Amino acid sequence: MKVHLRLNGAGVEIDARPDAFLLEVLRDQGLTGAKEGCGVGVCGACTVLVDGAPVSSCLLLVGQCDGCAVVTAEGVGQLAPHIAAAFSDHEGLQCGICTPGQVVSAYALLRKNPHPGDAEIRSYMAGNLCRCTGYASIRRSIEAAANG
Amino acid sequence: MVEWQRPTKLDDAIAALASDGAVALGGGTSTALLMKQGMLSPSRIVTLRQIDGLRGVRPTPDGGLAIGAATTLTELADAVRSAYPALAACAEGIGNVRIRNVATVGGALAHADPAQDLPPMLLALDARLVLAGPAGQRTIPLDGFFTGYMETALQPGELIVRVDLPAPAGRSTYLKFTPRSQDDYATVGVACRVDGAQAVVALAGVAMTPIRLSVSADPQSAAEAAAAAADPLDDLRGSADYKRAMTAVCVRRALSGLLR
Amino acid sequence: MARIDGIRKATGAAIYAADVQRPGMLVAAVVRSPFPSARIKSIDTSEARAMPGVHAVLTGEDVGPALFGRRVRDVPVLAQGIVRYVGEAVAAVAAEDRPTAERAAAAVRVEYEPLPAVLTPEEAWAPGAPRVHDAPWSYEGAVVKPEDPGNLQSRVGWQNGGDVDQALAQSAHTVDLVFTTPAQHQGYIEPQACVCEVGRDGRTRVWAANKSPYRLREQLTVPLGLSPERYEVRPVPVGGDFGGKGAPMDVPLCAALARASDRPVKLARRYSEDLMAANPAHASRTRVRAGCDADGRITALDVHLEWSGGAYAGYKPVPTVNLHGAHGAGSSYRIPAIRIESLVAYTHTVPGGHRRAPGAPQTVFAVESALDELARVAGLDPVAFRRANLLREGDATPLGDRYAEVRGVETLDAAMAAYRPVPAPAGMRHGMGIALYDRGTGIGRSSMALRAEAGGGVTAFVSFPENGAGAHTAVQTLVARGLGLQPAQVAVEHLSTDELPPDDGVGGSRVTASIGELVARAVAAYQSERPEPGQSVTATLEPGGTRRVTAFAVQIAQVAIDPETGRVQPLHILSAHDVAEVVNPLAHEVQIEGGVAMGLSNALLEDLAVVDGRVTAANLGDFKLASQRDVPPIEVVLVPGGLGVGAGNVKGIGEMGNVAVLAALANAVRDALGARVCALPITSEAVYRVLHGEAGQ
Repeated sequence: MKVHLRLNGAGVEIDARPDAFLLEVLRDQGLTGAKEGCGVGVCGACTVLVDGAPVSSCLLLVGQCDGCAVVTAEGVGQLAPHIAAAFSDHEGLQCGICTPGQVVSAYALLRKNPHPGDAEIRSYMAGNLCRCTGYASIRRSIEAAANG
Repeated sequence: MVEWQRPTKLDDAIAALASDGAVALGGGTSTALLMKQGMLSPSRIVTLRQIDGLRGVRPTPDGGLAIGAATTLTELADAVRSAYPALAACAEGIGNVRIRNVATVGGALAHADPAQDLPPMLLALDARLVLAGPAGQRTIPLDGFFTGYMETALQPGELIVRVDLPAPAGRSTYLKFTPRSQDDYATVGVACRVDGAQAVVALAGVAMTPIRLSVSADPQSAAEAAAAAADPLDDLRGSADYKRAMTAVCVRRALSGLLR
Repeated sequence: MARIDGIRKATGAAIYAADVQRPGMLVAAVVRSPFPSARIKSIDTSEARAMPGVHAVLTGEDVGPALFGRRVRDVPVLAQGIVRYVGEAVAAVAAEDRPTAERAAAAVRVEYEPLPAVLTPEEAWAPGAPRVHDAPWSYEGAVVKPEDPGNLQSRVGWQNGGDVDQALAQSAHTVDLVFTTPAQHQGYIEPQACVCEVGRDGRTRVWAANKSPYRLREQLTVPLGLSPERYEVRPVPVGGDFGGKGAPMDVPLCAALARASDRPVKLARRYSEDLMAANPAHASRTRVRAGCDADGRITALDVHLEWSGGAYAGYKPVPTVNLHGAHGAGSSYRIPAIRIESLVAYTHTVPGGHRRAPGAPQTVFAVESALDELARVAGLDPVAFRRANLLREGDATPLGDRYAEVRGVETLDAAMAAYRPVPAPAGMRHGMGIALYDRGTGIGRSSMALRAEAGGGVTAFVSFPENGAGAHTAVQTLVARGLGLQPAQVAVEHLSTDELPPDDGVGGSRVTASIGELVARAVAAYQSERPEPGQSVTATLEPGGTRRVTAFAVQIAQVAIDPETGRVQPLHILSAHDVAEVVNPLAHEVQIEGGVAMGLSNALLEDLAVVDGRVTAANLGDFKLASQRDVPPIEVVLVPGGLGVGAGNVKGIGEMGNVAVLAALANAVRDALGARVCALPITSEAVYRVLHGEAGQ
């Protein structure tokens, strides 16, 4: 079926199976920033924004996004490059597999509250798992992005 | 090839759901998981979020609230924060922010996983469900809606269209006991509402369905009644004995907290 | 100091193995055994083959009996008539897209005859137990012999000649405790994935989530009797390794599918397949007997470790086919009589592999818990007890190893000086626990090249991947320093195995030390040869030739325990480290923080929950990795000024943060409870049972 998205700011028409998930569709478009991690909405490696809200693209059937604005990590890299820079500068990433999802969630958080406190950062970002950093450097990166 | 339908009118959705193998999609988080686990292979998917009147939260003339079934958990929390703060807190403890942005109230109830937080909270608030199906609309109490493990009173082709809450009465709380990761399903979940000398307690995670009890507003006896009513299973969150013991502790704590 | 790979990764531009797209690429799906032990009676692939979009369906008969592995070669590409664990690959499909491949895999009909299974070392070594392998001594790399007990993968032991039994019998105080840990997945967030493509020249190109490309090349070619040049392992970053991405894993199967379909093939696992059938940390059962005299001097340590090796030995890389962490039992202390015995069993369960300081978290959990208990039994403060028994400068370890320096006492003192109690919330019991660990640093085989660029910059070409620990950034930093350049003038590129001499791969606490030495050589060659733009110099490194160095980590955990529910709330973890030079202080600190978080997760949350031989943790909702809210404040304390390895004068850090913290938490729980939990993970229910007088030792 045909699905219309505003994908990273550009209108696109995508031909997709009705039972295809948004994650697979995005990755087939070459937007491989969103990763298949756990596949069940827990790890956050597949996080993208749909109409501004962070979602697990591994659990969203592409038809549910028809007519929506979708922003991926690649898009956030254009919209708010200071966030990726903050993660890079403050070692908020190591292996990097969770990082696109972390950055997308961080972008959504900072749009909701430009100066979140530590508790709000922890709570909002709780659904983005990381095995490398232990999370403190992720919070430091987000604080730096908020202050920068 | 799966067929995708996106009706804007409730009657069209009901008609689309009349065929075998058709499933309704609120946010789709539960449906997606079932499909990925191979437990659901729909021939037709009927998405509901764009149906007139199915989203949104409106006050009702009796001082209560009408919650459209296709309202997301995030939308719910934002809408009820001042009038039903326990419900908002409960919704905000479900899953993670991404799940809450997509999962719907109706979808959560229809999924009927006894480990979920929303059903007991709505049970404690004496919610009523408005259902619509081929035979028309009907309104039933949420109490009695859950008939078995992931089974509900929904008839074939029937949808939840609205959740109605009475005017807030008494004080409520939701206590989610997550002794493993803080980001987890509840090992035991306790929704509690106290109104004068009476209390309602509803439990997640300790039986095949959520359990609702009317008890006196005495923490100790309520705890004992809840533990006696609980019928948990051994699983990776704990043994049945432990969960039963924790039911008593959590009910006592939840009720004590409300009575302070 | 920005990471060299930071922007690319954070903006979604980095291409990992599962992101690789090749023209005409097919997608694979795998049929896996539902039985722990069974004979395959028949496989009917007719329906799968007939599905439109399916290009290849392979069974064990199609791929043949070649065996693969990191050291022992006992792993078939697809089961050869017999399955040995739930999840073992039995057949595989390559199709146009993933749904087609998975549908076709589901349509493969396998008939099994279930056989009796041995699911624990105890069952495996019982007299008359069914054999997981009929002739395990016959495999290339095997260390067992026909006369060894059945179902033995390996047995190693060490002692120092002291009479342990007599010393214990004569000790003023003794403990005799058994500790258990379950199988635990490494928790890398990127599932195992690979892409294989056979070129017109007949060479096979591989992109794989694998941290040792040259070893992989060797592992792929030797079993097939091919020369290494027949395979090229292309560079990709690794999305988390932690020891779990050093085996050939799915690459031989993926390559077979590529050959059979004459198309490139991607085989990326679902996470549930990774949990069920990759190569998790071994489940362990460890008995520790320890004794001390009336003054609290340790007299003897007797450690007997039994590991569930799983159905195949081929996922362990060391020549002993054992867990080297066992060798470190008691290594930090003066112990007159020590005996360590470490046995690995073949069992009909998922094969065990390496996990960040392999064997050490399990060993140190047991030994540091036991020594903590011994101190208490002797009426001594656990910190003072350790301090009194730690090795001093000039001491050899109980097994006779000597190091350039021994800074255990300094590290302990630094930890205690920084320690501040954190109050427990009202109504909860506070507990404080300490544990320590020491680990050596070495260097490995590696290579790099430096090419001069027009404009004065350089490109550093390296032979090793970036698995997250920051190796590529370290190269950039050290090359820049060595040549007097800005980091921005130094590009770093990881090349395929075609281009540079071999490298041992990332891991083993040798990376930063190796890089320090390797870069020094490359810089020296560059400065002496003065290449023109476009010209390069190459440097290589072989293991050995460095001073013998160990590094200490002392960790103090504080917990609050809810006495009514048993819930363990971590309050604070202090991690003190004996260090020399630190190349990248920020990366170094985050390695520690990440290691501590991982160890905490291992101690309190993680269990693959193997029941009747089957991993029952189906996804990351079941197998919990610590989240933002589960990790308490971590305070890092560094004790600088140590003697390191190589030109960079560094000590390894990657495998230091995640080890002692398991015991530190267990000891903190002991402090709060008055009784000890000896099984991991320490669940609220386990604590609750101790509080109610059940279990606990």
